[in-house]
Amino acid sequence: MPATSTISLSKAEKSYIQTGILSDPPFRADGRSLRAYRSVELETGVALLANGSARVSIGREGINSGGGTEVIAASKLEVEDLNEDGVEGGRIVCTVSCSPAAYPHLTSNALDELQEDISTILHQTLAHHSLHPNNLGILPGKKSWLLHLDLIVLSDAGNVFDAIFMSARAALWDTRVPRTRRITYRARKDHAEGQYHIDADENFSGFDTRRLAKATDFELSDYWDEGEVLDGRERWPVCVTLNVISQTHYLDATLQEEAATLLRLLLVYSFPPNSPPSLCGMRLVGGEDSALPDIKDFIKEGEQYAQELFISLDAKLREEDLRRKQKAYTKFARSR
Amino acid sequence: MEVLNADGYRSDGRRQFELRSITIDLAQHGAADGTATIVHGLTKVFVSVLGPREAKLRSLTIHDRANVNVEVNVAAFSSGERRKRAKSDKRVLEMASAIKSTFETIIQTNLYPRSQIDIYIQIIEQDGGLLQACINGTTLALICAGIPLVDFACAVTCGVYANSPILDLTTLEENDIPNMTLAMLPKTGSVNLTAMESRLHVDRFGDLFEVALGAGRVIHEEMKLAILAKSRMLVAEMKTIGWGEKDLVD
Amino acid sequence: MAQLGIDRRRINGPEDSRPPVFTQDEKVQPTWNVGDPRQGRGPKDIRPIFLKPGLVTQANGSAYIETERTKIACAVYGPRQSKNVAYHEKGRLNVEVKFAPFSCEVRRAPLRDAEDRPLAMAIYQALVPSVRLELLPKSTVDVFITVIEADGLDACISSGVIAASTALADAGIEMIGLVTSCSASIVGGDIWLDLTREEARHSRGSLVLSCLPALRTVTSVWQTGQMISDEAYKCMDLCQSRCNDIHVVVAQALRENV
Repeated sequence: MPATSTISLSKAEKSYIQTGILSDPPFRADGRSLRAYRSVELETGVALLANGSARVSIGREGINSGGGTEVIAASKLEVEDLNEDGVEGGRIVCTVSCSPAAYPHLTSNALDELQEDISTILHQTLAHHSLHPNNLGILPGKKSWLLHLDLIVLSDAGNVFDAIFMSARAALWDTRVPRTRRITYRARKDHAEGQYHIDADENFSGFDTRRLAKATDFELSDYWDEGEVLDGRERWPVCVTLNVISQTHYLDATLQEEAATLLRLLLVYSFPPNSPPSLCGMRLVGGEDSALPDIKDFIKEGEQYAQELFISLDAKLREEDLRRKQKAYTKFARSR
Repeated sequence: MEVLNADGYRSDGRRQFELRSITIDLAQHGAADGTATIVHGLTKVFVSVLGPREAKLRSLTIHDRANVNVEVNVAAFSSGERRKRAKSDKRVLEMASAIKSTFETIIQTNLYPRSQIDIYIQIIEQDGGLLQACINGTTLALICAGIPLVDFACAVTCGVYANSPILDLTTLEENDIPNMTLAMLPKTGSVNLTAMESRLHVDRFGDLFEVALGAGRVIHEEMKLAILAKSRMLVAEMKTIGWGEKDLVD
Repeated sequence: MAQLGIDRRRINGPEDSRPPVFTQDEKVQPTWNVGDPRQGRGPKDIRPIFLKPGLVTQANGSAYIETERTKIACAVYGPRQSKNVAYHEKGRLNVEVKFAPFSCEVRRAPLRDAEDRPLAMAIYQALVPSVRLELLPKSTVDVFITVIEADGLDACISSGVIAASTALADAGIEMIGLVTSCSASIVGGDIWLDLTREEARHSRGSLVLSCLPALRTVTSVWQTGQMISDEAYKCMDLCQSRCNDIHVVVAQALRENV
């Protein structure tokens, strides 16, 4: 069953952390305030063979201090036949796998369960029809794209859900869907009946054998790693985990703090342009109950945190887009 | 496919004996005792080493030495075609067991009886030379974790095309020509892994072996440089917090 | 594909089959559009609940729940000694959900996709704050839920929670209160409670709230899809007041069984 924490802590340690958070002014082991995040690093385009990818780390201080939560996310597109598993308009499948190095004391069974539970939350949120991008269809009634979003948790130093949703958003932001061109086969009228002459409508390219069977009726007008961005990529949500100790809550818990906290509220928010912020997922996780008015307060404040996180993530993603354009340009220039 | 064109260039513009660029990153990650990221061209592997520590399962302890546990994870997005490999995939298990037997002879396991050393390998991108990258990465991660080794293990993939050896193959080349992976110990000059799944004329083997040994030494130099740079940096950091030369000697 | 996992333990149906075509009695396609008023019941009405504890005689406690086309049976075994698990001060609650092969529109093959861990996870979360596991060190309580007929995922969760909590009470496991659960969804601009599967197709976002009406606290919130915060607040309020009503039903059912 889903564990609230993946490490065990003694009662004394737990109570020490809890007292610290509840005291006035509150104190945490790393000196942060209750609402402060550790430093977050983000880089897009880390997996060259994927259609979009990102790496996020929370709480890595400098290159040699270790620690920190690290997640890699990558999306890959596949063509699917609607006669088989495909769905009209394409579909999204999210999978999370956890490296055993991230959870060194979990048995492999417990690790499997953990990654399945995390996958479920991610998949249920991102694959919901209300967030579905419009450009994953290829040929109506025949073919569509299947977008696989794979995440790897390389290390977990707490707050893994926020990191997962951030990296998922970044990878989906980074995803390029190859543009496709429909080819129609026309039977020439001047030929005898039953004898069809097939010719492509547009200039048929012979080199796109990478992912296409011979008998398909569309072709890629882009090279495989180029294309247009996913439709509505501004909509992909971010997650804020509120850790609740009695009526106080705090953000971005470390692994030890997570073990000392009995209740967590996961809030997944999307901030689509020109419309009010919308809640895309909410889960209460943990072995305690909470009063409804408290939860409403948490949601109210959580929305603000999510908005701040969303704005800074958005700025960073745009910066990354620029950086990579620049990089591609200089690379090109150097090779001449 | 033409592996080597008339001018002696390969499909990615390399010469016959040219290795792909090697990038090594030994920065600490997460809770692991030692980690290493090694990149050979487009193959990228992330290795974490934990231990020596108490074994998770009591049945896994060996009374006079440490148990070396190797787990390999292949990212679904690592190859050209998306493929999710299960943990029990035969191919993955085979590779893990090859790595395990390579390192069991190098790690001084007798120093840590009844304990376990975990090697977790995460393959992030793959373009040929997977076993080679895994072994080189594991050597580095073990060194970073401070686990006593007899020697480095330096692995290299090589193949034969048109009667002549060719080094550090990409996926395209691996699919096309007979190839083998060799892990050598540069100090003792011995070899502790050769893995080959294709057919090769016995007369070609000698040449191939010699070239691969040479390449192993080159890779060793690269690995040594990275390790030295890391140690220098650690020493410098120790000095900044007030550790003098004298303390280090003690 | 289908040949891969052929099930030799059962008599398998033909490989290729088609749904029967009826000449008469064809379902009248409801001409409902988003924005129209709800058909059949009011937007804030839930389906009538039939709840009966103690139907499975072998189990320590059990319950059967039926809300129109959602039918769920739940059996509770234990507390029993935890096996192969390191000492733990608190007991373990183990929730497993299984679907009958005929429970959904598409057949759920036994063994392969009969088990539903996400659903089990949602029900586990709703129950675990209520059970006094600290009184059961080194023990496990098993909750087995069988979905006989499913009519919407949200309804499965809420009915499953109610059945499981009733079964736990029937088994005499100590709890701080009965957990009841209710779902609400946004359809068009409206909030509807307790959606059927057909209605859920049109919903923009939905929320399942599980609470302890006796203590006025919430044990689980499970929200998917999209809704703005104000809608979420309204959904939660509506669900909570409905949960209070359901609490009466559960208490009544338990009382009748004694």
